[in-house]
Amino acid sequence: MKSLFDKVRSLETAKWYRNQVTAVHTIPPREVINAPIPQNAHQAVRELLHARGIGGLWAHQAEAFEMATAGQDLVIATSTASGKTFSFVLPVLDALARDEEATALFLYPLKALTNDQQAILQGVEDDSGIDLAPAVYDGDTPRARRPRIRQESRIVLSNPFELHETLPYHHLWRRFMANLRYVVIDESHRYTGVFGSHVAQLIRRLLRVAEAYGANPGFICTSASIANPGEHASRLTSRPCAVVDRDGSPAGQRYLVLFDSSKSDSGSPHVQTRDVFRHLLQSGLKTLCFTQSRKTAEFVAALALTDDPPLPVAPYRAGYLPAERRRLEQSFKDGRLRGIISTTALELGIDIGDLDAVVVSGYPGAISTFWQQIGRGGRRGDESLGVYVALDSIIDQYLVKNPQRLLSREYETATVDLNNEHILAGHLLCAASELPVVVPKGQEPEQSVVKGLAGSGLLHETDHGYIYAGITRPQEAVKLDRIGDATVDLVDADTEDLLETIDFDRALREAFPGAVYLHQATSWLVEDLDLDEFKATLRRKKVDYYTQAHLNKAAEVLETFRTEPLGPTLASVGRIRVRQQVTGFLRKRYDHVVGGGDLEMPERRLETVAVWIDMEMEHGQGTRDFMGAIHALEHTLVGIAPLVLSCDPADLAGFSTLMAPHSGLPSMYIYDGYEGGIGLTDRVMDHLVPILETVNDVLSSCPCEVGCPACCLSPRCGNDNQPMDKKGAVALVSLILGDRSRARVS
Amino acid sequence: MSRDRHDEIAVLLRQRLEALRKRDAEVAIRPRTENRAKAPEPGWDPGAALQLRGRWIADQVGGSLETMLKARAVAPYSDLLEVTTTRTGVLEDRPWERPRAALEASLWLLPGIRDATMKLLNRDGFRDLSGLTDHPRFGPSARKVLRLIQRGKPERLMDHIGFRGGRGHLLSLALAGLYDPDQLLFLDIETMGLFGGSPVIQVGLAWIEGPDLRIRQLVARTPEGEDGLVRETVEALEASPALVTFNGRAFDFPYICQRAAFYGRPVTCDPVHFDLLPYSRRVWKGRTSNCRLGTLAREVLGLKRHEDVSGALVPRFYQDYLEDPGERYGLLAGIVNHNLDDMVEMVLLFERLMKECQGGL
Repeated sequence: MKSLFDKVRSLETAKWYRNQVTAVHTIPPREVINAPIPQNAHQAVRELLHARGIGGLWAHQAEAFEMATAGQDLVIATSTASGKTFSFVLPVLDALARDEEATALFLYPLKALTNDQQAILQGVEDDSGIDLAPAVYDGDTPRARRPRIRQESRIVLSNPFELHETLPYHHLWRRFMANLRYVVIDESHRYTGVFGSHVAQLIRRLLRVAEAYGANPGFICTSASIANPGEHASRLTSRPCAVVDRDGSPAGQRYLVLFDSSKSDSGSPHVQTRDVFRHLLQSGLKTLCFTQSRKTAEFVAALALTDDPPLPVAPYRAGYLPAERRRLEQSFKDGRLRGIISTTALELGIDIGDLDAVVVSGYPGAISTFWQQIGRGGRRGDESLGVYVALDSIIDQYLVKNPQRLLSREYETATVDLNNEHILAGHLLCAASELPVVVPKGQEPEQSVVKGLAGSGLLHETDHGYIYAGITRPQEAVKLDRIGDATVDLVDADTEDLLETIDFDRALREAFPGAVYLHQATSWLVEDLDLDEFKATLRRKKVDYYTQAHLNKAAEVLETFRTEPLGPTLASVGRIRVRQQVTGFLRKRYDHVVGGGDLEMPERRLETVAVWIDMEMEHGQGTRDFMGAIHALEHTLVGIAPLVLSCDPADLAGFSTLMAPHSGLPSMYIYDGYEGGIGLTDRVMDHLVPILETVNDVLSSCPCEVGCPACCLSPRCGNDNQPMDKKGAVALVSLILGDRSRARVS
Repeated sequence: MSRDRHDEIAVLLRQRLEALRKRDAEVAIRPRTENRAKAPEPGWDPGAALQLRGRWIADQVGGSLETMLKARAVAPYSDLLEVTTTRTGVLEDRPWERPRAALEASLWLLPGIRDATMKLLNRDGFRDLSGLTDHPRFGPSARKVLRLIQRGKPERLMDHIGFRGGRGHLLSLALAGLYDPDQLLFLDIETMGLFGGSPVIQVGLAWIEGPDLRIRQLVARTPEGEDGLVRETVEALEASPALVTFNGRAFDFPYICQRAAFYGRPVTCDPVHFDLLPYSRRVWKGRTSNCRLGTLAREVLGLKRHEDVSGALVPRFYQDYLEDPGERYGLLAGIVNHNLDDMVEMVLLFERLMKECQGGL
């Protein structure tokens, strides 16, 4: 049989191949570290292991067991496929075997994960002889089955969204809550940014309820490799969590192919992704292809499915309905499908059987996510193959040229912001509808937020604490994956079926009347967007163009927290208000404008935290077009900063002007894309110089003349990347960095 | 500066909640809690609501809620008032017979007996359960059910009847006759929300005393008073072997349980519960315009109310009142009077249904 390495090399013989493979790295196998079954393990644990024919554990599993049973909260941060499930199942089983009343709550970031896990736990029950009655309790659980789960299950598998809805009804969970021994938070690194900040508040609500019933559960988190697993888990759970990261599981040799799509002047990066994908499938490899957005997943899938003959593949992403998802998972497992094109929805440990190869098309937003996706290949410890298709974005091009950044695995930080007052306020309302809320004197920002809520009549102060005094369920107004605001339903004009639900702001940008929207690999034309009804009507239609919204933006400074000199300029961090409005759109075919129109959309206001750089007019002397230079610099900065901050590129945004309202002078703003901010821009300020140095690298090393997607053109620009002065930006960043940039050049 | 910001955050949240409430009202499908019997509120329009509000405020007299309602503070709680009302001679002295005979004559209570079997048994001279005790096939179960009846185990019998004949079967309501009338607690609550996370505003409790009806209404003058209100209600529940409500199985009883747990004192009692809604449906479905309590009172009992208040208005009027209690106590008084009407109607509906039991078993 041909080795995997040969199959990689055979890429180079493909008809479409244009020297895109820039390197093939071999990642050596990892040696196993064994550990004996802990002495103190309950008989039930031994029986389970015996029934599975397991004579010993991997080092991290044993370590996790010993810590958890000693009462230490912890986070297990080992690689994909390192038997993390067993690391938490064993201590939980041990506790539930010792105390026949004890219960445990397992939280997963996505519903899709729980069914697989339930089956695993059912097996644990059968093999250990301990009654666990594991049950999934989420939005798909039939009503009739719920009372029994509440009364009898000892392990409940759920997700934060369900927990959020369920907490007010804690009296129905008395038995479960009073005996809550463990809370398991699987894939805890997923709780970062806005989602993480919400979930951290939700966990505090859960602990408050558990405490009211006299329980004090321990925490076991599992995380992908991130820079700060311990700090992150501790913030998430409000408990100091010890870190278990000595990975004892073996891993097979892995090849990582770096594929630079910009080397080919024919074929878009997505077409090339399809070509690579097809090549791997035709080489007999079962392949998973990750793309970084729903849109591209749909697009690549459309390309694969219109291939002649169509490839045996399907797209997969979180927006799909549960039954649809399960059908896909099943067909991939049993081999009817040979490939899946997925967004990150599939990355989270869903069991789809063994994989030979993984294609990661586009940087997934975090180095840890990149390796987690690559790690999906070769589950049995066999050799496996990963292909990184670098797109033409700023970060992708930077990484494919500087692969040490990927290979050195300098993982990013996962963030939890406990100070976003919008998030806090929402959860205080929810909490006050579950149990009276007492805020200790002087505890900020809780005190101020609670006072504001009481002032509006939503909370009422009583002898017991603050209680919720509104009419509607606050849980319904607080969405865990966003800050504020409504969603819009996309509906099929012919059948009235719900296609998917998207954010209000996203609807303004992507589902305006006349927009082309990709759903399930087909293009849909938006016929109507009714903002009062929160509904967009779409009709399936074949078109050969795509659409892009035009955005009008303005920003003003509300409050300055601190200001520091930055070369000849001043850098500040503070609160700003951004106003933006979709005023029109362009129709484009292969990057050429073929039409467009005006739109009247409501103005949106965002108050958030920003870093801004104040400049003088004279700083523009080395530029052809000062505005274009600032604009280009802003794009590159917003494009590359996520690499340092480990955030979704969509979390950050920028704005440039020659005449800022607060100074009348040129200014460039980088801001958190969320109401109230989520602590990203504070870190931009702290890392401003290294970020600008990277910006300088990107701009000066890019061979293009006037700017390209690899350096300063942004696909998300609301101004169609106009004006743009790339050379001016190089001059400007050199001016700002002064000696630092010269030192680097020499 | 920061003061403004926190106010603004609160305003944003309030707007979002208000938008959700509006959407709920428009859709008029109340998920989960509110039953069809209460949900579609014909004649709900903002104009009428505003008019009613004006009238209630104009009608306020006495300078305070206490004076207007002749209410007393309930010690030791703060902000909790009670209003006691006795309606004399509203009920017949002995409104219903003991149901034992009816129960004992119901052969279908035994598993395996439906209409056809019953006819055969009747033909053979079997008229009641005691006649069947030696029957070769039905003897054992007849003896078992008879024991339940003779020992007066209504909760077991209720489940048994519900299982055999459905929740709305009048024979299970007839079980109420196993109790002395003064052992029955009538309950109807007014709340700020439908989901149990919002406070209870007011609770109506009532007992039958001979031909008279004694009603005790607890009123939370502010949400501060809710804790005491819930506590008093739970004490009343714990002291009562049986509970009568209208739609209380889905709403009133679980709501009180949730609020009691909110204050850290979970309800442990589980009284036998006669929810009049399923019985009313069974008896009058299709013969009245709908199955709301107010409608049944008007169309079945022929009662006329001063004011038919949409349930959705109660929380809004209470919020409105809380903003300026000194000047708007008429709104809370209106809620209390509305609850009093509900209580009286519920008891009369109960009496009427008990008569149906005797006529129709």
